[in-house]
Amino acid sequence: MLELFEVSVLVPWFFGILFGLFVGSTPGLTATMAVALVVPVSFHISNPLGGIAMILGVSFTAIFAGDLPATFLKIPGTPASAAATLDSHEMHKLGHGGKAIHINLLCSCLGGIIGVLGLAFLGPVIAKWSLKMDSPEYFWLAVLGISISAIVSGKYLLTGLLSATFGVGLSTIGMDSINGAQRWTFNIPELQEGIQLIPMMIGLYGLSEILRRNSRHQELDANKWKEVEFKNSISSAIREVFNHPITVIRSSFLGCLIGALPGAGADIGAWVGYGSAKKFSKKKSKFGEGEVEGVIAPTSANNSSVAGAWIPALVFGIPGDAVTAIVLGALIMYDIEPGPAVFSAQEGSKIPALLWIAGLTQVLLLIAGLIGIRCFSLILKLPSKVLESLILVFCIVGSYAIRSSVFDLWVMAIFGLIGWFMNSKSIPVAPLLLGFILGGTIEKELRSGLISHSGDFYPFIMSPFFFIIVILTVIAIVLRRIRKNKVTR
Amino acid sequence: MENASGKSGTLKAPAIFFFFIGLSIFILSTLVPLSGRNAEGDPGSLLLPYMSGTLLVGMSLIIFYKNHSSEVSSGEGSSIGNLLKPLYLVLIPLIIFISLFQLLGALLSICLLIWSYLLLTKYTNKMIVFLLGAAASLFICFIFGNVLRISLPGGVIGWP
Repeated sequence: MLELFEVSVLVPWFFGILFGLFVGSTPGLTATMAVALVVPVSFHISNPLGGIAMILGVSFTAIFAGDLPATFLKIPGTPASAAATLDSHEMHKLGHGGKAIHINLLCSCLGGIIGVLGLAFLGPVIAKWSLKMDSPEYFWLAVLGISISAIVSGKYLLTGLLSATFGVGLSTIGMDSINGAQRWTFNIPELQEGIQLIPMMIGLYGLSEILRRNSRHQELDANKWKEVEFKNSISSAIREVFNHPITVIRSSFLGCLIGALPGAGADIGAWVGYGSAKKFSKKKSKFGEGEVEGVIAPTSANNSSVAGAWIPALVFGIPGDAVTAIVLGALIMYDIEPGPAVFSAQEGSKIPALLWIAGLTQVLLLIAGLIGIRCFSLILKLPSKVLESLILVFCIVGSYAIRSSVFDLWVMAIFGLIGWFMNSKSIPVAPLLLGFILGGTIEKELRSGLISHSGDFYPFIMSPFFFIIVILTVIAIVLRRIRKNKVTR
Repeated sequence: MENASGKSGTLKAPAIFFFFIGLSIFILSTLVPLSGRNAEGDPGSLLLPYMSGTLLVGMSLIIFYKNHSSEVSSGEGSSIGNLLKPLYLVLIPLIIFISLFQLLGALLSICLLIWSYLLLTKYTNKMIVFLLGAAASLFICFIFGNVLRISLPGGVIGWP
């Protein structure tokens, strides 16, 4: 462990963390992109542990950094921060931005540590369980993810479902993953891969916010978003986090579990964490209006998902998401061979060092995060209109950067308009995003399952997940109805 | 969380919007020929579009019907001023920007976008407008183009 504190490890480690903070806090630049950019650089570092530390530093901090613009600007830096945007930005608007972002930071660190512990102790067990899942289970898991999002967002259940269905419909644009048929591409080459998530997300959250702020009634609170109150924010954030230990542990555990499922990831982990916190909270009606638990849950869950995603990656060589896929590829080049025996004690094994690096990155994140928060908040001192113009430019560059395509700028503009329209008419945007992300999984697993069972839907109904989703959905709808009746009275 | 106004009157317009979206998906699914099933038991490429189109139409009609019977007047965001202001302040400059992005290049077009946005929103300090546009576009092009090696259009200047 002492070799982790050598200069040749510490310098690239801290550089990775700072780079992750910068890229993650820039809307449009994803954690995947950050890791992809840093991997080639890491191979030039003489000490292999330094290279591993750099890669892990980026992958963990980019997820937290995405919460910075999510809190202060209502623009999720990465898709994993979309769930955290709901309450942390509301807290900022209420004048508790400093507290919200410190809660984010603390929960990211705690979630990360719990995730790493999950990786170290529960890894093989969870990975074995997830391997037993088949198409029906994945299908119902995706349906559950969308249902939770539709139920927890907005005041009306039907508008949430409408938004989610629209998202699922949008996910069908592009090449059919089963038989390669082109759907709704209209001979536009860029549409063959479907609508890109990042420009769509930037439009729905970033551009729509600029449009909203320029509508007449928003001028009244135009100055609120640039003032960040840091006085006592760290102490009150610590108090809030320690007042909700169950939420932290439950969300982190769920995040780790979701992260371990191949194809899921930090974004879905965050939504499930948020949904579960809302279900168990005594202040359900306050969610979406700046509720502390609505900040704690998704930020704990998204960072623990990063560690969780390594469980199937290390044990079976199946990465849970795109970031882990890149990290796994790099780790193989560092002589870490994934397989069932990866956790067994072998001489010269880098796994213990890897686990220590992952755990200690959370501590370093705490230090770098405190600096990053102060730096980022300085940007908010700018006049509102200047800041808006800069956000507009970042929305554009972020959308363009994904694949250097002007087409993606049009996508961003169209979804900005749609997001603004939906927001102004009380239609929640979050289910649209989740419907879009999970639409592909729903279709692929449904059709694959039907093909493997010769068109028989019976195995889907007999799946234990089917009963779980029915029970959870009924409970959620009943609770919603009871709450609505209480409010009406 | 989205700013639900709680007034059912405001849901009429989105119900119509999503009804036509759903109807379009449904009609397109019927008109566009797709190579369907490639294996026994495969419901084909059109299953999900049909399902989402039908659900969108159905749910929109329910929302529209509920809204119609509630007789509540529309709320915020429905006046012409509220609708037009963001359009001419943000969307029109953005459309012009996207159209000229590759021709002018990232540096010039970003600079022009910042200037036009700040001038249209009546930002008073003209010197700051000029300096910010120039400095921000230079900084962004340097960071993204040179440091992060992300390909941005050079346009007439040829940089980054």
